[in-house]
Amino acid sequence: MLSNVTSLPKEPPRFFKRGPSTLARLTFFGVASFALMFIDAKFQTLEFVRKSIATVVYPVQQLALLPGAAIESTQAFFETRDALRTENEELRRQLLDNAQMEQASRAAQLDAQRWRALAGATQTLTVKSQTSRVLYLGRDPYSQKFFIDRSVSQSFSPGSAVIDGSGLLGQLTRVHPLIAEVTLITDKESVVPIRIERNGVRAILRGRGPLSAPELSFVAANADLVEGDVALSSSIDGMFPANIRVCRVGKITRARENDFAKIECLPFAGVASAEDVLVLDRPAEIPPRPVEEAAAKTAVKRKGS
Amino acid sequence: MFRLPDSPLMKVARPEDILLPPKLWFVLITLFVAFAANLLPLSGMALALRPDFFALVLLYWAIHQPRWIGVAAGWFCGLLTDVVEANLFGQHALAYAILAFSAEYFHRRVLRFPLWQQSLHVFGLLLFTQIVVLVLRLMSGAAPPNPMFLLSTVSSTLLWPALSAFLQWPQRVRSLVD
Repeated sequence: MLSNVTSLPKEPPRFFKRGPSTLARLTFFGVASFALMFIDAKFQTLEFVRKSIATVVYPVQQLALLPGAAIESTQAFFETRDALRTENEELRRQLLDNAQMEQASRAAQLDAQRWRALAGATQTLTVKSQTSRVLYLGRDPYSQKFFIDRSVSQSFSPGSAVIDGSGLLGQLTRVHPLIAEVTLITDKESVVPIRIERNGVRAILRGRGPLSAPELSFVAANADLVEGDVALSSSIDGMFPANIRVCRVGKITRARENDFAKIECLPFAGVASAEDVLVLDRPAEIPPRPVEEAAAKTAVKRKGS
Repeated sequence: MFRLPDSPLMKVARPEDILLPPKLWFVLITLFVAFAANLLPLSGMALALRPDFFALVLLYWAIHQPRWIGVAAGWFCGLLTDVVEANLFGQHALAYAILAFSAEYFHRRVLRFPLWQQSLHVFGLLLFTQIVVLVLRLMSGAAPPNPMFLLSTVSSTLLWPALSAFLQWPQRVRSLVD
């Protein structure tokens, strides 16, 4: 008799199938996020995913630019004729000034080339450049970046220097099919080798984020630097073309307890205001760094024995 | 007492009112528009004051329609944000997943309150989301940001009543006709 009775299930039936619990889902996606962060920070394997999503999202980004562009074009329309005329005159005067300067500098360049040829020095080539314009600023409050336009025919390569009319802005860090990302010299990750124009002292300029000015790091407290010195980019390590204006030396603090001076710098380029920019091609590859001394010694020993 | 203007568009359902179910396409389109609104090319103070539309709309649907917009949807929205903001993959993904989780956890409670008290809940949730991102960024070695970035939580909170009224509108129009 009893064997005919089906045993009751231990748990009540679930009325709605809702998959795993919310907490389980959060744990799963939390772990996935940390895995992504780890992979993205340590390896470069996710660049492909990033690029494909960026290309899909690009039209939406262009759409978001429309309202701003509309306002801008209306403003341009109402700009008065007088304003345009004065600007025109101003520009013409500048053109004359510049023409004179250009003549002078061309002569000086020729002179310098002749001297270099005489000295048997290697000729520095003028760097090729491509124009672009700033599309929008990075929205990330933690980094100093912006995005520039890239037409399909332009061959940008990561690491190229980006400048505006007055100086070095930063470096291309990511190149997507239609846009490219520029990391400014004020970003915390940015490092630029520089040379002081007045006396050739070398140093390294490090960005320090949005709240503080970039600084020259590891400059001895007794180095010959004064406020107002101009820092140019240096081609050491082959990252940047030489002699781009980078920044002006600002406040210098020499504390007795520190071996190094604290030197704040003010970038020349419109880090916050640039509109049209030039992307400079990377300088020619430099020969690889020679093997370290210790390694070289053992190599010599081995050869001798 | 804080009160919204008395127009049919701005009238908000009381907790005991029963709304029509929203359409899935409406949910998706509002999310898309919010995402596009986040991409507006702002900078400086305007950027700091800009509400995080995407997080806000995500939060709204996670509270009102947790069966569609949950942790997984939040995670994918965060991933999109990470790509367009060009920073470390996964940080907004984690933050938005946590946001969606807490919305799901609190949704019955939040909906019992009038709008301005809901805003206080929203303020807490969004602030926590920003703090999650802040901690992740500082751990990954970023420079501390300008504290102004927290203003976006305040502006998002202030937008909540109007946004709720607006997003509820298609669910009520037909019920007014009846």
